[in-house]
Amino acid sequence: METLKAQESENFQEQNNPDDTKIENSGRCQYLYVYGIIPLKNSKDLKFNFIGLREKPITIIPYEDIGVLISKYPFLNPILDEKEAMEHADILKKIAKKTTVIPMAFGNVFNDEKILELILKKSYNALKETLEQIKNKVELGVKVIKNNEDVIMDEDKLKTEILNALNNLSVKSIPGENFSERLLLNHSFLVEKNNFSKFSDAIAKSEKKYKQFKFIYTGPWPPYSFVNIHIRGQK
Amino acid sequence: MILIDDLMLRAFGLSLKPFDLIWYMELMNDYALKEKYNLKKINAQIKENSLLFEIEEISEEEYNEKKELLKERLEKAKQIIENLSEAQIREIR
Repeated sequence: METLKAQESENFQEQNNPDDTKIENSGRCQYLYVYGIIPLKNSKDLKFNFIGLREKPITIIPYEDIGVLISKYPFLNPILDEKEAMEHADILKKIAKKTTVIPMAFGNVFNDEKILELILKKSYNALKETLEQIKNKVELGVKVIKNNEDVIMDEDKLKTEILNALNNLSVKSIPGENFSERLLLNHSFLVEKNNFSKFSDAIAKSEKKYKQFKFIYTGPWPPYSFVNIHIRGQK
Repeated sequence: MILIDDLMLRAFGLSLKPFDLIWYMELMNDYALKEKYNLKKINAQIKENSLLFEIEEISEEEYNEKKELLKERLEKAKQIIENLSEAQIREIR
């Protein structure tokens, strides 16, 4: 998948605004918080019955047949806040239920519409290609955890068996971070929406078959792990 | 003036017990610091703590206690790393 880093020019650069606190206190939200990019074809009637971060409405900045989803936000450089990051994920989950979306990570804030229009214009082809690749697909996460005391024989063999069964039902899979010795497997799977039930059944079967392991199955998510597009302002 | 230190003696294949002890203590201290201020490792421990809570291997109380401890350690490690030279940071990582 194509990697793209669309950066605005230095003219658009802005560091932490010393007046940020004043902006927050006065209730002004002058910056634009980005959730993701969506196709606009057949989305004319797309309306969101939910609000964005800081209870601001979500709107679309269009370019040709794609658009970027934004809401007003008081800070240019948001501090990573667990609660707000969860809210961001929840909003994107709701968006993904309505349309295909290239999800953005928490904390992408821009100065104004012009920058975003420029990014859409410059990145149009890559964005269109990515939207096509993730159309009608969801991301599902699977973690398989070993019991603390168990010594597992044929660990690699079992891992391959579980992975193969799930890979057969997915378009693509990628390994996640191996952050614990307890993890036998930590993978994300890109799955066709109409294969979601089959995939869930395969997880249930694996849980029954490999009772020595614990399974954590999450999703459906917007395909965060399968889009390699980052839009960001220069720091 | 020639300073006789453990490294110099070691270069000549000599070893003095008190110097060796100091050398081992320095090594242990370096190792402990690297372990303590390794951001990647602390982040992994934070994730592992969540995982263990999710599979109900630890209680909410244990989870919160460890989470706070690790968050504090992460902040401290970040502050310490900010004050280190680039070479020292590379060594820790």
